[in-house]
Order: sequence, then C-alpha cells, then structure tokens
Amino acid sequence: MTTLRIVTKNLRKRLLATVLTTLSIALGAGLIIAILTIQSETEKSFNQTSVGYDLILAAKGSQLQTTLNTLYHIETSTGIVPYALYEATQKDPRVDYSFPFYVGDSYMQYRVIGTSKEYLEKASPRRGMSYAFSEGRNFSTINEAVLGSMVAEQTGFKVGDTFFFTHGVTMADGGAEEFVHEDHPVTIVGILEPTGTANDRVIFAAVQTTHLVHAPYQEQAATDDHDHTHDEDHDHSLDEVVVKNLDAVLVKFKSPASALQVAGMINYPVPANPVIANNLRRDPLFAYREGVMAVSPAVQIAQLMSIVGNIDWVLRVIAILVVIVALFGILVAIYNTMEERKRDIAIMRSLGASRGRILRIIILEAAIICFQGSLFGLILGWSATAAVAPYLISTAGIFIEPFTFSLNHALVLLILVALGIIAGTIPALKAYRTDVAAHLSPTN
Amino acid sequence: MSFLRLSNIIKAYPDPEKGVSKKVLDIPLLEVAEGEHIAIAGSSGGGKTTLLHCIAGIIRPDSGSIVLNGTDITQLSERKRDRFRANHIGYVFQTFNLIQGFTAIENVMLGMLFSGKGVDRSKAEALLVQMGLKDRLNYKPSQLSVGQQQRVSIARAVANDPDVILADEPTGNLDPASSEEALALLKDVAKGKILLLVSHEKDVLSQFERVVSLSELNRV
Repeated sequence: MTTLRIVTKNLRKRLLATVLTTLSIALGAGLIIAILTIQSETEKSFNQTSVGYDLILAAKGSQLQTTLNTLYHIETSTGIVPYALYEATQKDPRVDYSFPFYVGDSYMQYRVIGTSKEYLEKASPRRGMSYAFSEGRNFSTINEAVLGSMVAEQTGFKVGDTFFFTHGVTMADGGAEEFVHEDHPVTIVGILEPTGTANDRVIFAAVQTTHLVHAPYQEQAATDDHDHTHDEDHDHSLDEVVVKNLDAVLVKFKSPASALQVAGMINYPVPANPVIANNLRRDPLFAYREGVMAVSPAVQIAQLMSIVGNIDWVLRVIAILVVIVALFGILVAIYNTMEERKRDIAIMRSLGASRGRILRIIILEAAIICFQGSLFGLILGWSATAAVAPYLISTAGIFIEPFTFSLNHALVLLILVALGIIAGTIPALKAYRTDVAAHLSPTN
Repeated sequence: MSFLRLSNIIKAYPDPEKGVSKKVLDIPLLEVAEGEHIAIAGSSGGGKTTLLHCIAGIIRPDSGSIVLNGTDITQLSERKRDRFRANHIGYVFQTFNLIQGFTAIENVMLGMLFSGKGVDRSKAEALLVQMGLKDRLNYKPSQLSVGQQQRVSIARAVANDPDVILADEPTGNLDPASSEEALALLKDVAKGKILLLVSHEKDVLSQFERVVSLSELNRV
C-alpha cells in the first residue's frame, strides 16, 4: 500500500470519468504533438532541401511554383529555358557550379530528373550532407538512372534492373499521360542512401537520357550523327544527344554578391542610364534574360514558411484551447467527486493521514490523468502524423518522420503535467480543508 | 500513574441559531490506567464522539490537556497530532468507516501507511486471519457482512500496535451475535492496551469492569 496505490485505486473507482478526462487531454496533446511534428519536420524538410543553390534560373512565372518544382519535386514547370543558358553558366567565372534541371518523364508517381552527373557529386540534399550510394554508382552515360531511396524501396528495383520511363509527370490529382517509352530501356546503375528529403522519391538520370527517349525531338541528331532508328539496339554517348531546353538551371555562385548581381540583372528592367546598361549588356548571362527569372529559393522558402507559420499558429491556438478545455475537464471531474469523497478523506485523516498527504493524493490524481493523457496524446499525435505523412510527401513533397521525439515534445508533456497539477490544486485544496469530524460521523 | 489523563477539557461549538457557542464537553478529569478497559455510557448527543475525537487528536479542545504516555496531545501541531494518532491511537467506528474501493487487507494496510513505519502485508494478513477473515482478505467492504466489516475495522485499528483503542458504539450497527463476537475480538486484541469504548447498550457496558457515565463525567 502506497500513496500511488491509493491514487490508482481512486482513479479506477471512477473509471469512466478517468478515461474520458484522459481522452480529452489526449486529444489536445495529440493535436499539439501532431502540429509540432508536422511543423518542425516541414520546416526541416524545406530548409534541408534548399541547401546548395543560390539561384534557380527558370522561365518567367510563379517563383514559388519554380521553387516547389525544382527543389521539392512537386508542381509543374513554369516553362522552358534554353540549354544554352546552362552552358553559359558553366562558362561564367562567377559560378561555382551549376546543374541542368529537366522533368519530362516519370515512373509510377516518381519523377525522373534529368540533370548532370555532377548534381549527385556536388549538390547537397541537406545541410552538411552529400549524396551517397547505398548500392552501385552514379549515372555516367545515356540510359542509366539512379534511384532515390524511397523509389528503390517502393518499386523493389535493384542495380542492374531495367525499366521504362513514362511520358509526363503524375500529379497528385492524377492526370498522368500514359505513354511508356518502351523503345528506351533504362538501366539502374545506383541507389542512393536516404536523405530525408524530397530527393528520396525521384529518379536521377542524365538530362540527355530524358531528352533521348523523346525520339522525334532527336531527329536532328539522328540525321546529323548516325543512321539508325530508335528501335534498334545501340549506344549513344552523352555528346551525341541534342538538348535544347531545360526546365531550370540551378546555380551555385562563388559569392553571394554574384548571386545578387545576376538576380538583379535578370529580374529588373535595364536601367535607363546608358553606362550602367552597357555594363549589364556585357554580363555573360545578359543574352538569356529575356523570358527568364532568377529565383532565390531561400527567399521563397522563407515566404512559404511564414504562410505555413500563420496556419501553424491558428492550429496551435486551437490545440491550446482544446487543452485548456481538457484541463477544466480535469478540474471539474475531480472537483465534482470531492463531495462524495469527503468521507474517504475523513477516514484517511482519522487514520493519521496529514492534510498534506491528502493534498498530494488529489494533485497526483490530476497529474497522472494528465501524464496518461499526454502519453496517449503522443501516440495519437504520432499516429495522426504517420497517417498524413504519405499524403504530404505525395502532394507537397514534405518528407515527415512521424515518430520523432524532440525537446519540444518533452516540453509539451511536461507543461501538460504541470498544468494538470495546477488544475488538480483547486479540488485538492477543497480536500485539504475537509472537516474530518463532520464527515466521519455526526458530532454529538 | 495514569497513562491517559484528561483534565479540564472544554469543547464548544458555535450555535448558529443563537449566535453563541454551545458547550459540548466540560470534563474536569478522566484518568485511565495503562492497559485498562473502560466503557463510557451515554445517550446520543451527550458528547461521546466529540470526546473520542479530542482524545484521537482529530479535534482540539478549546482548553484543557489530554496527556497520553507523557505527551500532551493538545499541545501538538495538527501535523504532529496526525502522526501521533497514526502511531498511538486505533479507532473503531460505529459505521466501520472502511474505504469502499479497497479490499479488506488494503483497508488494514491503509492504517499502516500513515504511521510512517512501513506497510507490513503479512501482519495485516495475520490480523485478518485472527479476526476470522482468512477467506475474505481480498473482499471489498460491500462484499462483506456488517459483522465482517467491523472485524476488518478492528484489525485496522490495531494494525499499528497503538497504546489506545477508541471504540465509538462499535456494536451499534451489529446484530446480537455479531455484536458479541466483535466485542470479544476487540477486547482480545486490546489486551495490554487502553480500550476506551463508548456505548449506550447495557449488554456491552456490562462486559466492562469500569463504566463511567458521561453525564457524570461531563458537566455540560
């Protein structure tokens, strides 16, 4: 027999009230946990993926759409930019490195990203992380592909397997163009380690591969360089394939100042001042500015997160209100039992229990309800997050690890228990003040 | 040398109707020797329960002293009185006052919990066996007869090996057979301890060598 035993007995005695109060706390806690998890994982996911690029050069349109398309592999392209723009960035001394970016095909719901092999060598899927291969190697020539970890896991493909790209991209709302490039088998040469970003659910291939499969597009190359049809078995080298257009060029500059300079040159009208205008015209990328925009993913993500942040706050306020209601539930549930429990309290006092012990018993009851509710809430929150995770990754490209336990989660649980203790104090004080003699038997 | 000594005990309660205090107890002196069993006879409303509550330290008299084995209970703080009560006083109530959600053995152990000496399950079990409740250890009060409930109450009262056992109409709710049985058990477990029993039942009073009339004891 311990104080805890008394408390658990009391809670069991009023099982229905205990369960309902625990559930109400669990709902509030679960809501908070789910919001915290989704919010932090979303932020992490977005921030992680953005690392590595200063500018995205893409066709004029929605900057956010371009960001989502190129970095998170959702949304459609705003249009095309000439491949020559990529070539120009390669020659530009201000550029540290740049990658072509082209999406034209997919496999199941996974996009095929046409890029250069340097993308997997130099780009960072997340801060301080490089792409690593769990199997195989990087693509080096035509008709080779590297799978993101999730693609490999979901498709069951292994290195050496071949498959066919499907023309077009499957959007979240469906509408894929069901045309399979059956004349161009692509061999899987590598599988990437998980990165915890949207890059896990894409297929990487040379931009030439993604163009080669579109045979009519290669008519010029076929007639110029060699004489065959694409139904024949043959090998192309990367140089043989003509690439005319890209969805975007991802550029990392050697200095942030250069990124600003190029972004300004591309995005703003040419100044009227002839000296400045002439200077701008000498910029190696000036010739490509028509119809092109420079997008800073960092800025776009910051804006996106501020919008998401506002929604977060609304959700948080709702969750806090749910918790407050639940805490009042605890207070009322315990308080309402005080009258019927006065006799039990008086009996315990007559056996030598101090007022302090009675106070502790009641507060402990509230704390246990809150603790249990919080634990259930954690499980509920995790479950809710796990339930929406596949939807978030397929529709928003947000990779969420549902079963995380951060300092914030611990803090929420601690605060809930602390609030439970505060809520329990009011009925506990009523218990504390119980008149022992009056409730043991009538005073003669 | 008396072991329990009450002197000049006065206790009054506010009378809301008259707006003044109404004296319930005015006891000049009551001495009980070590190991003595004493019955206090009195009718309902005579202050019996108030007297026992004062001795148990549940309420504090307005004046006077209650000295048990050299300790004046009236001078102790409430917290110390609680601890003193847990260790030195066993209380048997007319209505048993068992906690309904707890089993028989848990009710007995509950008394041990508050003493600070630790809970001894085997001792609680032995006491209930002594009370003839070997097969009822894990029964809840609602599953026991009133006689059995009172026996659990007696086991609980002696669980901490108290110096004094207070019994407030312990047979008041029992049938004659159970009453006799409970009283015999009470007197048995109270051997060597002070037993202070209040009752208005002649059958019960007749079993005590020393019977004090509350009306003579209490000047109210």
